[in-house]
Amino acid sequence: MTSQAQTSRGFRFSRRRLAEDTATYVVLSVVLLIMMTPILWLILTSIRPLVEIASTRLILIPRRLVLDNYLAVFRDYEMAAYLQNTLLVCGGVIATNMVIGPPAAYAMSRYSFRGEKAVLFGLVFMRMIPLVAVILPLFIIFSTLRLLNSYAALIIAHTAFKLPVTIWLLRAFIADLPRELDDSARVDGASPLGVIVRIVIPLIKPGLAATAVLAFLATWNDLLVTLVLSNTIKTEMVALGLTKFVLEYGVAWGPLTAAGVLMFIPTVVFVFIAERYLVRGLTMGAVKE
Amino acid sequence: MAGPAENRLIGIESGRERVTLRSRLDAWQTRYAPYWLLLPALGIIGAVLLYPLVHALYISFLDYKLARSARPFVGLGNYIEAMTSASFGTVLAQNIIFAVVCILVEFTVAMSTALLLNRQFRGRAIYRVFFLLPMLTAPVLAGFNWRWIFNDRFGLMNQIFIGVGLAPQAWLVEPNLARLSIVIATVWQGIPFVMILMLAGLQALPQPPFEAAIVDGATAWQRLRLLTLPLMRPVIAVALALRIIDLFRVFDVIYIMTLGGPGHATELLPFYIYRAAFSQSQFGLASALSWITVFITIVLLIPLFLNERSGAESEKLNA
Repeated sequence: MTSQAQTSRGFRFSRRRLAEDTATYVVLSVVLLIMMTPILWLILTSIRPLVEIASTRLILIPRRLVLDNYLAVFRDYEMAAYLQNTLLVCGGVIATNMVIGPPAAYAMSRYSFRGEKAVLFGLVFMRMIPLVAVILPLFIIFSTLRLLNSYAALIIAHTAFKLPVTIWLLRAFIADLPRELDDSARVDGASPLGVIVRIVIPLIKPGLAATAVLAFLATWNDLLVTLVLSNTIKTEMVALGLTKFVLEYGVAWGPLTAAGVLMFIPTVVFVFIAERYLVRGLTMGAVKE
Repeated sequence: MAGPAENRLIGIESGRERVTLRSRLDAWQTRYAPYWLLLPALGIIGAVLLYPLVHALYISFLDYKLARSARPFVGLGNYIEAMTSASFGTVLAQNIIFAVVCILVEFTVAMSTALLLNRQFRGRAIYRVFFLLPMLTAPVLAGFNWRWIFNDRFGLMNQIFIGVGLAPQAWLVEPNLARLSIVIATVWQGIPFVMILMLAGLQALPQPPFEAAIVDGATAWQRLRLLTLPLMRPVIAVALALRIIDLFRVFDVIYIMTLGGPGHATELLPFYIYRAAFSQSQFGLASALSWITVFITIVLLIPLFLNERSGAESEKLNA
């Protein structure tokens, strides 16, 4: 729609259109450059020699490419352990969300039942509460259960934190499917679980992928849960790992930025994969693109 | 689900009874289907989110300190202590001002960028994807990025300041500059988020009113003010609600960049609660503060909640 309206106008005022396009490019490029600066600066710092990092004068392009910082994060710091722990927890969280989420989302979108409104509101409410409010009692509970510093605690906590978004998002995807599909299967005698596994899940694969990506990123990026629930190298995750580059005498900016780049890689990969569904995911399905 | 074994047992006795039991089981399954489909999800949410929240409410009425085993009931004592302490008032006011400033900056920049990105031009998809990166960067990493840029000795900001002949600044040490730094780090992640929502809203706008307005000779500004913004109301409400929620949950950036300092200059509610709990071991007070924060968030959202719902519904109609 938009494209037709605008191209037809474009033909009529092509010179004006050219000027407008140029202005658009210029303004957007400037904004984009400013927005990218912290990321570019992170990457540039990570490949600089120490003399350039500790410089009060602006040196834009590193004179010499140095990969020492990347070696240091594995040799002098525990980056390998942080990455391994984080991947394990993320894997667990995705798995639990993908098993528990679809049936719940299916129930929310296809049945009307008593208490449905309460559940819907409850899920939104759980997305609203400040994590700090939950993490303190959770700390007490997990320490009573002797589950601090365990993968189980981290996976359980993260699973619960991501589930409301997962359910809302999958619910929106299931609502898009024609009802006749699963209704007819149910009339043919398939159980609800059978319908979900054989009919619904294959049809909402993009939705599942988007949900998994969001659950992954939220877990990957999290600081507070790992900060409170773990304090040994066995379970510390990468966000907490970054804080270990803050040493007594100052911040080891070279290794820190290298670790930061490593932490940033999955973000880039997943933005390109799930970009199309991000709007829906981030608004719990309220805004569709 | 646990049926087959039992069915077989009964099946030995009589075929007819097996059918009845099976059909009764099926009927039961169908009748309560939504409940058992939801059970695992609600179970884990209930155990890990709802129960702790209620537990926090209970703790908030106790004089609960980690080091002491006696935890006497103090009624609203913690709430009174929280509300009357000078630092809480400061932090609350600070968080509100912080949220207002961030929202103003984010929505202005995001709306302008979205309007530009909504135009048809080559390479638009690439701009869009890159704009998203800051939003999905880990807040911890965003905090370190900006802490490095605002570093008073070797930071990019001061390198640029020195380069153009200005005096270098103590960005994270001087209270107002520290506040500015925190706002910049936060809006850096907030702008892409609001922008992508605005863009989605713009792309869902119906075209005929705009074509009519162009025929009638309305200027671009008039079209924006009289058509675009009113039609975008539901999306703007959703974005606003989500940003309000998240701006009262900002923790990582503060933890990484300033630890709430200098003094209390950049302290926001979540970090204030965290400190009460884990530095001062005042679990009762921290729980009361948590509940006050939950309450404040709800109050701020009430005017928006109805809007959000009508927004979601009109979105359904569009789809």
